[in-house]
Amino acid sequence: MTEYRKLLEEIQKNSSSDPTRRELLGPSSLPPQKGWEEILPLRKTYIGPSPWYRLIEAEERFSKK
Amino acid sequence: MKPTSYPTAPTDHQSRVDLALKRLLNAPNPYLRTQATHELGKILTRPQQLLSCSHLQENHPIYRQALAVADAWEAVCNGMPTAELFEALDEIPPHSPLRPWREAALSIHFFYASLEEAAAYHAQLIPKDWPLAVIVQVVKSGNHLYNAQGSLRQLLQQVLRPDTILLETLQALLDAQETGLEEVFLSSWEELARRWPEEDQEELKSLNIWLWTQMAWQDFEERRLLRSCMQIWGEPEALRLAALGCLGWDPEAALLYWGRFLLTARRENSLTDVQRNTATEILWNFVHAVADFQAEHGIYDDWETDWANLANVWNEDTTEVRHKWPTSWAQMRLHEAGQPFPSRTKVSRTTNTGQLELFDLNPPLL
Repeated sequence: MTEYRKLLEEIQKNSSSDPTRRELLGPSSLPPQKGWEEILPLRKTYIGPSPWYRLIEAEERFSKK
Repeated sequence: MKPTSYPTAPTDHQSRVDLALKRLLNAPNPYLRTQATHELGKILTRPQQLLSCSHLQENHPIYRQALAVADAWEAVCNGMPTAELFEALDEIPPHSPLRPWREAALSIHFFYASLEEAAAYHAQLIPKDWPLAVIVQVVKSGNHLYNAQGSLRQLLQQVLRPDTILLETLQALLDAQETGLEEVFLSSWEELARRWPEEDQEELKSLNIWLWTQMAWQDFEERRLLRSCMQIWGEPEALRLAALGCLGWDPEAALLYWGRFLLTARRENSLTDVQRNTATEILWNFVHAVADFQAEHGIYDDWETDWANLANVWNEDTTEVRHKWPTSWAQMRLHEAGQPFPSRTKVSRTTNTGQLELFDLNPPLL
């Protein structure tokens, strides 16, 4: 593999084993087929206490099993 | 005030809470009281369950603590906490069965406020074998749904919603990139960057690198995108990202970007010694990559001049002889490789002239 291909692949996969090098050559560019909406930051929304309580109840039921 | 609007727990579960509370209230010594507190904690799923216990008087401290926790939970989950509610939580003593509920309420409050460390601190004070400890997983998730399953995922899907304005702006950006609408492309990018949360910059940088890879397909002015990125992240970081995105389709431009990244990072002292050494090693990787590319595709007419310009500016900046870059591209490659060049052909390969105008952003290099 040529140096050109090697460097290109290293950048695309952000695959270096050296953390400093990985940091300098990152972050990796996500392939567009993944869907950019998947990397969009999510906004926290207040939903009231019930869903939070339901989560704890589910955990209690799970721990009884 | 005794809340009445909460859904009630199943009767059999309420009986278990009643029994556990009775054991706690009647515990004859501290050891059994601690044990009973723990047993109660393992089945308590809502503080309201304590308020429903017939043998707990309204003036009992546990009743008042359960009330304080229930009110605080409602407030933090609805985004309307007050100082009085937090003060009431502070009155819950460490040995109380409601103390972990206090920690959980504070943890949720800090989770919504995106204060991760504070949220994690309060969450880790919850006993690990209590159902309440599931809050730790929520707090750990931050703003991501990764790996969440079952009820946890359901809750996170309700709490973490896509930002519709960001979604629309992203779509406009991608459409403009595809259809070649440069003004819309740039304004969408700037709007997206402005709205993007500070704590998720890595994702924005991923998107930016991808945009640089796509610049190959449109005759957009790269320096306008670069200028915009410089305003967002500063000059060195914008140049670094541009270099990473350009390598695939214009390695010479990528090398120039990386060289200028090193130059500006050194001027601004924005890299540690280790980072600077690694970034310099990577420069040589770019040099070899360009040499490989040119061996196959030839060298474009102005490349020697472009390289000489960058090397001259670098050399003016550095006082150390051993860090000087050869201004001749041929010597630069020999300098590192210590071996003759592969044979090369000089061709009139065209390059995107916008890329060469990058240096107009600053005073002329020569």
